[in-house]
Amino acid sequence: MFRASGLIALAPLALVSTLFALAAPQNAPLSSGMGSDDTGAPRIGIQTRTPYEQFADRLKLDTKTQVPAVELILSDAAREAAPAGQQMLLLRQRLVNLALENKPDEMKPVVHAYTEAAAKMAGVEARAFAKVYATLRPNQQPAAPQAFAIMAGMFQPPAPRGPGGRGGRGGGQQ
Amino acid sequence: MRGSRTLISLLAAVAVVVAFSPRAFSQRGGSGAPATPLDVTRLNILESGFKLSKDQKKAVKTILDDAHKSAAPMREALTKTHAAIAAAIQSSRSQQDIDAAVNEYAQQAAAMAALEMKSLAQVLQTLEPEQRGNQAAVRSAFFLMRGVFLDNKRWDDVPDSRSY
Repeated sequence: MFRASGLIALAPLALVSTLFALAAPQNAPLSSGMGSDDTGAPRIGIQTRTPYEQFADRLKLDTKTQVPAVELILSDAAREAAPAGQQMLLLRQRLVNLALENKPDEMKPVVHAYTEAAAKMAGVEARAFAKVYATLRPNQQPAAPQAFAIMAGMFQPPAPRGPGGRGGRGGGQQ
Repeated sequence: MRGSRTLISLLAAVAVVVAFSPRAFSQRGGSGAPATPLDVTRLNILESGFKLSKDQKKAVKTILDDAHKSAAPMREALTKTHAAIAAAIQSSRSQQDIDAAVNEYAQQAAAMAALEMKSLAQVLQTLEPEQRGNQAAVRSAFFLMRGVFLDNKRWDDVPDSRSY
């Protein structure tokens, strides 16, 4: 449904990988290891529709008249959401490391910071949804809540390709 | 008579094929079954990545089963608060109301993320040092945990497009 070029523009994977590696604490017991080579373990080869396709399908968007506008809205939102998404990844890494170090008290401020980052991310989703909603025809509007449910996490940084890489989710991994 | 025999033979053949298919051999969330490309589950990915022993696999399953159960209130709250954002926008509520809905949702998202990461830490603590040193497997597990408890029924399904 969406053009590949538009989706490529959404992909912040390289940036996320770089930031993730740079921000990993030196003394952390574990790092995500993003950017390291694959082990050759079996990959997930299951084809699923991307969230963008699901979103467009759910709303029955007109390919010619509505999809380009919605694509632009989502592309802009993905760019806007990228810093929050990167922050959320880093905070998740800190959470797991603190849990490994058995420091529950130190986890609280990290969870608080995650809440703020998640609010920024959800705010981007909400604004994008509002813009899309404004373009819908009356007969498309009843499906909007389900479409918004599909948007949950749509702009999260994608998992890297490889085993466990969720695939099909996040900004432009599709 | 001859037709019914043929039908019975056919049904028996189908039953045998189904019973011995890789899918049937694999036990979702169970143990002892080799992972196949047709049966990619989170547990199998962890097993394959970290080369888990039978006991480790069982321990990992127990950790994630328990966490999945404890995630039920968060799961419900995530769905509810996310839907509330859409409802606020649809009914043209004030920006203040929308922001409040967004913040409610963010709190649930943070709680779920914390649970996911705590569970991952528990999983990693069951491993031997050399297993934990496998950075590719750690990376895989790290991303595998995102949204792991979103499904009402099971955490072990093939990682799909659901997120939060």
